[in-house]
Amino acid sequence: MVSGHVESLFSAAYDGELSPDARTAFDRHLGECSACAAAFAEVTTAVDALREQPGARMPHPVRLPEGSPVPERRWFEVPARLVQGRRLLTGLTAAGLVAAAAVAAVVVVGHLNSGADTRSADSSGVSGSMSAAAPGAAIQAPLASPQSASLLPELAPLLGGFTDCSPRALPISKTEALEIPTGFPNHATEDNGVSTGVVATQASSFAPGGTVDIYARLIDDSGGAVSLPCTFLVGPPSASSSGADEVTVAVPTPVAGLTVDGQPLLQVTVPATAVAGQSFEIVVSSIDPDDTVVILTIQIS
Amino acid sequence: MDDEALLDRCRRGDREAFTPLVHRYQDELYTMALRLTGNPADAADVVQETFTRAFRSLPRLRGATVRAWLFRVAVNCSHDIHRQRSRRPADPLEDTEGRVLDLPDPGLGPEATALRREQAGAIRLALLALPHDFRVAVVLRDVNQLSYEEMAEALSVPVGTVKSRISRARGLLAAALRQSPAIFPRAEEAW
Repeated sequence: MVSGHVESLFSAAYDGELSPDARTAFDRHLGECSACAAAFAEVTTAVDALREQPGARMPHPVRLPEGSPVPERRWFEVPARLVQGRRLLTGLTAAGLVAAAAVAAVVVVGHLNSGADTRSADSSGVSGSMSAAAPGAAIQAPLASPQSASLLPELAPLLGGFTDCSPRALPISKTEALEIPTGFPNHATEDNGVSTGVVATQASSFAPGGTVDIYARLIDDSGGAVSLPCTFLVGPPSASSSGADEVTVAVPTPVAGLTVDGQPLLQVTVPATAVAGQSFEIVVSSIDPDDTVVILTIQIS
Repeated sequence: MDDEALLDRCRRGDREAFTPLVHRYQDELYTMALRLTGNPADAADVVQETFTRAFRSLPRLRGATVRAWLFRVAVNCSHDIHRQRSRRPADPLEDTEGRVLDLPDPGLGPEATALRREQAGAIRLALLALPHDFRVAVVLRDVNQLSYEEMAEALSVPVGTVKSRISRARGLLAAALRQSPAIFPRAEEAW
């Protein structure tokens, strides 16, 4: 090719971005260098041909979703990702509880047999890990804050235990959040246009009952704010779940002192009843219950 | 009414304000998606998915222009759909039922029409041969004619990265088309 000549200026020259002096020097070089002149002509011809292609027309009307573009928020709302072929625990549609449009989401997990053990946690609901229960078993979870609980009086009888997994702001930059920590090779990143989700684990396969440390970050594309997001562990159907729906088996929670580079990690336990060969998914969601951001698969070995 | 005014109405729950945005951008998004995926059906799915996502997400948009944001979502959708589906051979000028979508100028004679069709096919293959980031760069710049700044916003990369990707992509495109007689007639004459 023509490296060492003016090839690096072809694109700027095509776009008319060169200063008058630079353009003069560029043209002078082309006049003296047949290789550059031919190469620039080739690029110009190719780009012109692309630009001359006629625009296309959308062949059929766009179908918009029903309702308002700003849907009314319900207090008890199932994340769409989980509605579509997934259930929380056994049969009961546990849910993402969207406290309000402008505040963080609260995910509530529970089941009908409310004899579940619960244990106290501080009001932020972040201390103590949550044991991931097998489908059909009780989930042990930190109690939600009094404020969260007060939002749900009608649900209290249904909920054996529930946890506040509100996305919490982290004092790090978008760039820092996107840097997957060393030692977390199993990772996925997705940008859906509104939020960017990052999720990573230290391995891609885990034994039944194994503990999974999770690096999860949610980044607001507009403002760049980084948070520790609502996250779900979704597993395959079990004998106790109805139909072929996959089942959310746990909501990973932050654990005091469990950090990477000084920032909190999430942790969850693979159900002891998991079977080698099964796949589970770690699903990161934004505050919008329609908005699954990123999914990472782990295998049971 | 400009995009921001329509967006304000959307934020207030006005469903009807969304329709003009669809009409304003659907064809250029479709053209972009067609060049990125090479497949009319996939491109239509990209546009549908883009506006479905946008319908719920756009009212929450802050600090970005509607146009650049829609391109951002459409690029992501194109990547997702193209990655998920096996490549389906298609005439770039026909939809899945074989109807011609983008006829060249009807005033052209049959030879010119055939040449345009050959050019379209060569460009389609050349674009599909480019690595994804470079294909996106050259399509946004030379098909949709986004500014460097709009591209930086749509792709969440610095302007310098945009320029370097465009430059590299154009070089690769030219190399991919070098042997195409429909684009470089002299290549054919040399034979």
